[in-house]
Amino acid sequence: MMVVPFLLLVVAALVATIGLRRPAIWVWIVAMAAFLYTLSLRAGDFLQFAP
Amino acid sequence: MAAIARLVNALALFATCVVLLFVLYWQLVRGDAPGTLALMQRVALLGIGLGFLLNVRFGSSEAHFGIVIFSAAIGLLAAARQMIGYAAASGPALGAEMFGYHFCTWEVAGFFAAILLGAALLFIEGQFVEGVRDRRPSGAAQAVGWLFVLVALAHVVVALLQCGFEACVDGAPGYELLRR
Repeated sequence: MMVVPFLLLVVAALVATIGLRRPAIWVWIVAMAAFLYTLSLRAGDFLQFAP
Repeated sequence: MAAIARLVNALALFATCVVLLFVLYWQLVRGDAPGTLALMQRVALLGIGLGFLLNVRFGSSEAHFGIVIFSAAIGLLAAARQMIGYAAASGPALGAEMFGYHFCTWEVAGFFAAILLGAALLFIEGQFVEGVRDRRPSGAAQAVGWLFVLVALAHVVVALLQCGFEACVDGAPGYELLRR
């Protein structure tokens, strides 16, 4: 799942490079949403600090 | 002042590319596969680079700096979480070090610097007068932009090889797709 935000960010960078600003920003927003969703799946792990 | 802001944006984009290339080198040549928290920091780095790329390509906008600061804040959280995890763990030192500090410590400093840089650049109001438009950046700026796209693509390929489309397992050398 972690690869999805990576993929979307590359798409955003490509879209920006070819001259489409607003779609690039929207793709970044979707990438962040996917990233936060991926994070939420393992939220419990990140709150555990026991060695 | 707008010219200075453009130059700083291009330099920041280049610095982001250098950091992304370095972590790629560390993973592929030194064999240090990233865990979930390190991958989160890479996503944040790509977000920071995208914000600066938009500034270089279309001119400065508050939205572009928002992308930089938001991404850096997420990266800072991930790096701080990793640093606290290392501090809480007992036993031998974990993870790679550079100049006596763990990578995550450098990442904390780097993400904090990115937030400060993004916030400081927002004070240059002259850069927003021109507005955003499809401009033709200088040759060097275009080259840095394409370098960022290529480095980001390389990170996607490596992340895909390491994790596939499933959740990454911390500490595992990964490369699930290569094993199949």
